[in-house]
Amino acid sequence: MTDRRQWVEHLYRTHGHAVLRRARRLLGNLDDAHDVMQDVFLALHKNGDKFAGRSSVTTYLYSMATHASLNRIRNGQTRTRLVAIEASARTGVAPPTGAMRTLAHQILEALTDEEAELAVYLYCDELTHPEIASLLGCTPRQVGERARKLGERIDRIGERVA
Amino acid sequence: MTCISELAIDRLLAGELPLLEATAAREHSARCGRCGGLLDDALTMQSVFAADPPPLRLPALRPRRRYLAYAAGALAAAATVVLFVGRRSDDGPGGERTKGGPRVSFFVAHDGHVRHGVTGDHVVPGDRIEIATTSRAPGWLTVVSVDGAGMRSVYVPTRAYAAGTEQIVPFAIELDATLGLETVTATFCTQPAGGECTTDQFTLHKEAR
Repeated sequence: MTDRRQWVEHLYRTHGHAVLRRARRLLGNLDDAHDVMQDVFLALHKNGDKFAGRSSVTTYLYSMATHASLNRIRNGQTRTRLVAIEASARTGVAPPTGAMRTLAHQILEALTDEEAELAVYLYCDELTHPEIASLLGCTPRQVGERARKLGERIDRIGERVA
Repeated sequence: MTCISELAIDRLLAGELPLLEATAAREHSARCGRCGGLLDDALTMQSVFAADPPPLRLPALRPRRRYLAYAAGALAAAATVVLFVGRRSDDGPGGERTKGGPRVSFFVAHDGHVRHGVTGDHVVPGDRIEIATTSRAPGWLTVVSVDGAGMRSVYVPTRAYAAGTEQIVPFAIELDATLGLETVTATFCTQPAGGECTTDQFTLHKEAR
């Protein structure tokens, strides 16, 4: 266990900043991001053997930070806030308000956690399919198929709630 | 090159991007305001974090039970015996290895092209070598080299490595002008100083351009 502790402490020193930055980006504030960073490394300490080496350490931690951040905001009905933050960061325009915000909120609340994670990678992070594949542990082709299904599902939700 | 993702920036800072991709990413960031800003932000966060890292709150180690103390003492004594096992000279790209044990492999960047290296590879001064590890479990890595003149150099000071396939060590080694056969030996240990260790190695034939 000492070895794992040293390993986690080493990863914290070398990769903690990346986890903190990732969480700050998704959560929009540094205080929550610090909590998520602690959660990530605590989970790594507890379940480090789940890291099977299918991806790089950085990719694995990126995925863990995304999961932890989404978990944190899941119950706060703040997915809309997440999208608003991301959209304004990417485009430099004001966050969506009014009807658009309500629509985005209803769509995101209707997504499962897995779908929300994929939506973040696709629409917020604008990752490539190979990058998403490395995060999800699948092939780029499977990412394409999941993205197509997600798009159709968002369309259906949008039609229902519009 | 298209804009780079934040995941790619993280991998760039961690030294996980292959040389050509890393070079392209840096060159693009120098020209692109968006990516340059993201990279600057990441570098700032990295330096601030390194200067004053927030304390990591891991659970305290549990006190060992008394009856285990003797066994622990015996284990600690045994752990000080460094075991070097398995030597092999040319068994594929990784150099020597113990079956199922950690392995070292490498990439060679030559005139802008990167190739997967094989033991006995022919290289020239100025080529850059990237070391990678493949292991089922994390541990501690040290890489030393003995060049054609018999000079010993530490290529990778002792550092932690993660489990996984071809985990890139985040810096490259530029080969100097000393010609001849160079032997690069990676030592994998379970602890930062000693413990159980195995080695793996590869050779390079350094020739004049």
